[in-house]
Amino acid sequence: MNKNIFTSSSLILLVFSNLVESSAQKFDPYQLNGGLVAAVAGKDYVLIASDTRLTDGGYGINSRRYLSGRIWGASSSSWEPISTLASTQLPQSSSPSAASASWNVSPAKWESDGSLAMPLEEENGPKRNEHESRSLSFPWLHFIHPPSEAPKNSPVFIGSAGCASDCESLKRRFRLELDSLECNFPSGLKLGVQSIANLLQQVLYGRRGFPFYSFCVVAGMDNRDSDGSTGAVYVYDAIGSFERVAVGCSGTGRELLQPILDRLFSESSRNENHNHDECDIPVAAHRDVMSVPAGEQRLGVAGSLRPPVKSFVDCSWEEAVTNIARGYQSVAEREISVGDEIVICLLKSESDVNNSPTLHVISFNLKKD
Amino acid sequence: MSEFTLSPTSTPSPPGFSFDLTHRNALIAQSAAANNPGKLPKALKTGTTIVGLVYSNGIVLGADTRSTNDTTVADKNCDKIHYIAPNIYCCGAGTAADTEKTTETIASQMELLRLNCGSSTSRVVTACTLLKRMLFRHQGYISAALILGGCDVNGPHLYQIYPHGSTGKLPFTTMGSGSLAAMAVFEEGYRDDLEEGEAVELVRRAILAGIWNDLGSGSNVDTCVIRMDGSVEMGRNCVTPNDVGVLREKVVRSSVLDMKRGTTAVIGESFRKRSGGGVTLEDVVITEMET
Repeated sequence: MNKNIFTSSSLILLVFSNLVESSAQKFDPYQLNGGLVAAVAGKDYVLIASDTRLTDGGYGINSRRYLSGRIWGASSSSWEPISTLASTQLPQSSSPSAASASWNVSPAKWESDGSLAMPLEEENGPKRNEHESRSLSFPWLHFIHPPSEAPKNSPVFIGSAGCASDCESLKRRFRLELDSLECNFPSGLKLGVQSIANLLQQVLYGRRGFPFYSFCVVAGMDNRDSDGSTGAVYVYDAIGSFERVAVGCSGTGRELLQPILDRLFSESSRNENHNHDECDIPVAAHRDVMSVPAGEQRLGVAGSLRPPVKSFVDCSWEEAVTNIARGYQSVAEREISVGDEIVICLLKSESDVNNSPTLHVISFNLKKD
Repeated sequence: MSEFTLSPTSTPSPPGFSFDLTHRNALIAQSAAANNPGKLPKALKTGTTIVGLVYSNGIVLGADTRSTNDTTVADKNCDKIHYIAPNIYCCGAGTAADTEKTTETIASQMELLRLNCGSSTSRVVTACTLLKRMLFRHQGYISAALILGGCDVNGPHLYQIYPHGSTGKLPFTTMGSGSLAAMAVFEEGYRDDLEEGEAVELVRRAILAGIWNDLGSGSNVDTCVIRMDGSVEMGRNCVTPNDVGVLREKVVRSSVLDMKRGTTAVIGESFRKRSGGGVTLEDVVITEMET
C-alpha cells in the first residue's frame, strides 16, 4: 500500500515537472506589429509607401491609422514645419482607373519629430465607408511644398516595419545621429541620400548583438549626377545589410509584394521601351528587363559603382502609384496583417510650381477585414 | 465504428486516466528541445468567428469564411457550418482538419444510430454527447471548438463544446478568435423570443464584427437557420463585403505573355490502343442486382 502511494505521487511529480518545463517562458523581447513598406525609384521622382495597420502580433488590431513609425523623414529640419499648401487641382492621371477620380487636396502635416501625421478625415469630404474598401480612385491627396527660403535639398524618407517600438526607437536614434552630424557642417549642408543610407547601416549594425527588429527602406533623390537628380531606393535587413534597387519592399508580406512589384514594373518598363509592339520572340518575355548588360555596366572603384541592375524604373509616377496600390491590394488579400489603408509619399524632383521639389501624400483604402 | 456498434469481443480499455505515454512525451520534448531549441512541434491553429443563437422558432448559426495558416490566408471562402443530421448542424473553429473529421465522424454515427433505432430524426443532445465523449477521450488533442445547434422533439437546442470535451447549453454563444467581437454584438442585441428576421440580422452583425475586428476572421458571412418544422435554410455567403471581383477585373495581363497556338512545336503524332493496366465496362460481365 505504502509503495503504491509512493509510485503514484512520483508519477504526479513527473507530470507536474513536465508542465512546468513546457510552460517555462523564454526571454522574447520582440513583437511583430506588422507593416509593409515599399519604395520605387523613378527617373525624376521617388515614392515610398506603407500600409497603416498596426497589429498586436496576433489576431488583434491596435490601430488602423498608424504611420508615425512607418514613414518618417531622415533629414532633421530642412522642410519643417510646413504651413503653406497649394490647393491646386492635379492634372488628370493617364491611368484608366484614376481618370474619373477627383483629387482632393488638403493639409498634410509633418511633425517636428520627422513623422508624417496621418491626416484626419475631412469633415466636409466624402465619408469613407468602412465596407467600401475596393476603389482604386484616389480618395485624398496632399501637397507639401517647401517654404520658399528652404534649401533645394529634398527630404529623404525612411520606411520601417517590424516591431513598432523598435522602429520608433530607431527613428529617434537615427535622427539624433543625423542632427549631431549635420550641426557640425558649415552653412547647413545636408547629407545626401547615399550618406543617409550609410548612416542607417551604421545605426543598425551598431546593434548587431541585440538588433532593432525593424526592416527598412530608404527613399530619396540622388543629386550626385550632373544630369539632374534621379530617385534612389535602398532596402535593408534588420542588422544593416543593404543594397540599392529600383523597387524594394520590406516588412510583413514582402515575400508576397516583391514578386508582384517586380512583375508590374518590369511590364511597365517593357511597355515604355517597346512601345506596345507585339514581340514574337517568347524569349523577350522572360528576359529580366531590370538587368543591365555586362557591356553597359560601369567600371570604377567601389562606392562609385552602380548595381548590375537598373536602379530606377522607366514608368511615369502615375503608373508607379497605380502599380504600388495594386500590389498592396493583392497582398492584403492573402496577408492578414496588411490592410486598412496605404499611404504613398511621392517626391518629385521638379514640380511645375517654382521649380522646387514637391511632396505629395496619397492614400488608398485597402481591405478592412 | 459507432459507439453503439462496437463489437463486444474487443477488449475495452481500462477506465480512467492513462499515463502510458507520459514518459515517451517527456523524451520527445527533451530531444526536440536539444535538437532545435524553441521549435517543439506545434499544431496548426486557425482563426475563426462562429456564433449561434436560439430564436422563437429555432436556431440560427453563423460563421465567417476565412481560413488562415499563420498570417497567410489559406482559403478566402471556406465552409465552417457542417452537417450532423438533417435537423442538426455544427459550426467548427480550431484546426480545420479536426473540426471537419470530428463532425463527419459524428454525422455518420448519427446516421447509423437512426438506422439502428428506426427513428427518422436525431436529438441534438445525442450529437452533443457523442462529440464530447470523442473530444474528452482525446484529451484536447483534437482541437475542435464547436457550436452545435438543431431542433428536435424537445425544441431548439444550442450547445457549445470545447476541445477538451466540456459543454454548455446556452441561448446564444460565440467561439473562435473573433468570439469577443461577436459576443459584444450579441450582448448588446440579444433578447428572448427574437423573430427569425431579427435573429438572422443579429447573427450577420456578430459575424461581421468578427470579420472586421479579428484578423483571423474575414471574407464572407455564412448563416444557417434550423426551424422547428424541420426545414433548414443555408445562407451560404449571404453577406459578401469583401468581393474580389473588382480587383480581378483590374488585372490586365500583357499580350506579350500570351502563348500563341503552335508555340510548342509538334514533332510527330502516333496513336496506340490502350492495352491492360485497367478495367473498363467492356472487361466485366454486368449482372442484375439482387433485390
